[in-house]
Amino acid sequence: HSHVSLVIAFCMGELALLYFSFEQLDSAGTSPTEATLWAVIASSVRKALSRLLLLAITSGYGIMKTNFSGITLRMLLLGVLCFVTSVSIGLALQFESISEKGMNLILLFWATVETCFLQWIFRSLWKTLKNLKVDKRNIVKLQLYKNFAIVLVAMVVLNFAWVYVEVYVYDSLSELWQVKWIIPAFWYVLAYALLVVICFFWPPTEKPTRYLYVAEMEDEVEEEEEEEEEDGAGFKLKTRETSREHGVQPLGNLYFINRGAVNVRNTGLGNFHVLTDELVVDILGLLDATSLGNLATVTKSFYIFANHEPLWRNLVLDELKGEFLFAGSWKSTYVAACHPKFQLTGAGESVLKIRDFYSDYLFQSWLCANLEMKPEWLERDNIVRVRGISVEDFIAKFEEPNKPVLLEGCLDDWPATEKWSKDYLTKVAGDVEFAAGPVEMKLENYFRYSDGVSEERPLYLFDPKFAEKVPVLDSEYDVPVYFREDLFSVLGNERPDYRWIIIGPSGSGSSFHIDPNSTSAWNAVITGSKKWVLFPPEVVPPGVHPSPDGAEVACPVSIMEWFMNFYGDTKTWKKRPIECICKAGEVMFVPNGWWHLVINLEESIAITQNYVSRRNLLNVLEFLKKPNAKELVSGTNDRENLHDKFKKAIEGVYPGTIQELEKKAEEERRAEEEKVTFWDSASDSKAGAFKFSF
Amino acid sequence: FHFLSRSQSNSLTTTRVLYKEIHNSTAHYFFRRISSLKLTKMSKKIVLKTSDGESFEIDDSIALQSETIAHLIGDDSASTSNGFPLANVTSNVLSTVIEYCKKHASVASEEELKKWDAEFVKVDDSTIFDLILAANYLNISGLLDLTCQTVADKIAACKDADEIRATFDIENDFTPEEEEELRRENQWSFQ
Repeated sequence: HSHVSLVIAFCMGELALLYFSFEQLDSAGTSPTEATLWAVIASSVRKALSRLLLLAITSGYGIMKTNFSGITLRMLLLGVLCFVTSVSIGLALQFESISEKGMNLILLFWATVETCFLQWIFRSLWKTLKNLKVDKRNIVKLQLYKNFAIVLVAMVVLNFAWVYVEVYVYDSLSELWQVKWIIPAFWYVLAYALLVVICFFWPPTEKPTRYLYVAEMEDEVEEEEEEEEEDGAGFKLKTRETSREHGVQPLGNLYFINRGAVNVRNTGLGNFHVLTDELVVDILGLLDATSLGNLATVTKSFYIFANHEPLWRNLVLDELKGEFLFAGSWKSTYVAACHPKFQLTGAGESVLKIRDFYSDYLFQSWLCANLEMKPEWLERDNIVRVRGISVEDFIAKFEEPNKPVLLEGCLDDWPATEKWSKDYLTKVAGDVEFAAGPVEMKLENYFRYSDGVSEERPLYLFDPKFAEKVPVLDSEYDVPVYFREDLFSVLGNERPDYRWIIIGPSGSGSSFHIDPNSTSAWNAVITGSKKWVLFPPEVVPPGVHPSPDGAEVACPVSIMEWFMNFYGDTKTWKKRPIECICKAGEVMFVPNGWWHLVINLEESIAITQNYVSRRNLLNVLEFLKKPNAKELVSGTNDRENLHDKFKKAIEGVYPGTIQELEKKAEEERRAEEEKVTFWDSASDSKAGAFKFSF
Repeated sequence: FHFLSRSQSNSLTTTRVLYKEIHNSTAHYFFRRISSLKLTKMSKKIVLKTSDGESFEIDDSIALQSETIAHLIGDDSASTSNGFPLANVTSNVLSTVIEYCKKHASVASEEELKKWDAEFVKVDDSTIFDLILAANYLNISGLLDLTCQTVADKIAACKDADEIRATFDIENDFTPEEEEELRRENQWSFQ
């Protein structure tokens, strides 16, 4: 819009200067050099700017995520070239001080520049159209660009036609000098018409105010542009989701923007309006699909409630288990599976856009599902990174003192790092069923889901038996050398779950938890990247409420909401968390007992293993001995006897280890106590060297 | 002060109840644990005060069915004399809730309870919604489940949108064009 305004401004300036110069010519007989010079310059700037504007529009600026950094330089260069050429032509025409040959040369150069622009414009237009066509949800944008393309092509055709007219007709019209001016004037008319068309297709709209999100219902294109640049509360939204929006707005909009508007939620719910949003959603969660579908046709309010995606997700997972083919949204997935005769319109796009529906609960849910991670959440990276240290070093510096670390270079010899990708895994294990959340589903179906989804808590593929299901995957990775000591292996087949393959879309992850059975873990990212936030065992993260025996952890918020509401707190705490971004090829070591939260920043494939080594053997035995072991121990069906079994097995394979470790622990404890008494005696309190006595 | 009684002793209960959250830009949680209920005692009376000023005195075994009240007791056992103020509950709703809690605290077979529940929820809609809100506020899971299921069953019993509107007194706010589009979108459910 600024660009268009600039073009208009220069148009006006150019016209004013030209008119002034013409006035002078008319009255005095000679054209004033200065004014003409400025007019020529203004006209050239306008020409360059307008061509750059066309180029920017056709490259999809503001519409698509094009990377402009490389192109901007070229565009500017071409623009400057255009300007220089145009100025020289203008000057030559006005002052007639240049030879015929020189004139021809400049005109040729001008023609080349114009051709460059033209072909670049049409090439980028073609590319934009192709990109828009691929993403099936941008129907309105596609239509807009198609119309614009038609207009452009029409302009070019008219241009060429008029060139013909000018060349062949102009000279023969020397008698009709009074109307001859129309022919060169037509160029201006054409240019002006194009500008009007651009203004018509991309009219300006209201800018949103801070902290509030305003969605424009009429023109989807405006919505896109707003969201790309929107500052809101600094939230950037995933661009592909904008078209599915029903139109839920937060209550703040009702109080501050559309004051006095009626909240359609209340009028549309009838007697239900006394209930809170969560209660309404809870009640709707008890309905079957047909009733839910019928409910959507009752009022606008129920339309939005009944199309609440988590409800349909539960229906799909309960009835279809893992046998679903994700179709863009949970509702369309359900309908496509259970009523295949009816095809829902375009991958879950909602038919109606509802205005005046305000609800914090539903808006929050939608916002968390579509938010991108803010850059300031990803800034801090204070973990220790090491590469190529020895095993003894690792044990002494990190495993013994129980500190997390990021290991680089461990995966260099894994065939998995080169081979594994979505395509490869689909080829090798496409129809093997993996555990994803509450269901088991085929890998190809899972990828179909993770490609098209934007959710607050996406289904996360986390399978503990992947090596048994697909042995070839087992052969393509190896435990890094630091973690080879794996004492649970003495239990053989009766060992608890210890290794998982983790695949998930952007936004999936695990909220704060401590790994079970008091084990340590390593997590190797094969493709993608993960953001980690770790807290030491004695520091409870904000927003997390563990029960005192550790059996349950209440972290009611999703990961995105935790970042929105609690991450800021950690900046003011003295005990800051350890954070990092673990990229492909790196391995994260999570010591036992540490709180950790992980979120995938992009589609990721990773392998993680939990293990017990001599360093945390005693901790693990302690943990398994606990009276409520039944609830705390995880990953195995035989929870109560695990402690005895494990102890016996260790004694069998590594006799005497436990006694050794216990002796060492005793010695250390005694050393600590002795240290204390020494210091105590050195200080005044106990030695009694100097006492007041009253 | 706790009195030992041989006839009635409550064993140590560590109730683990987690939280109630409010979805706003400042979310806050309360989490309490009641292991301090090392009470072996006679049945205590608890006074509840409703929003319209009435007081209800009930046995603690009945009142403890509400997790909210259980928290309040666990926190501050000294203030039982004044009564617990329940700002969101009116007296007629509370009396109905107490009726439910009394029945479910008594010894009865599952069949009997189910039958009684079915009769209990045969009331008009506004009472049901009030009960839902009260059960949500007082955090009585059994009552909440029962009432929500009742409403859900009522919705499921309706064949189409018109019946739903009639049952719950809802005005249609769609324009005819929108209705047409909706019909097309939700055609699969009109079977």
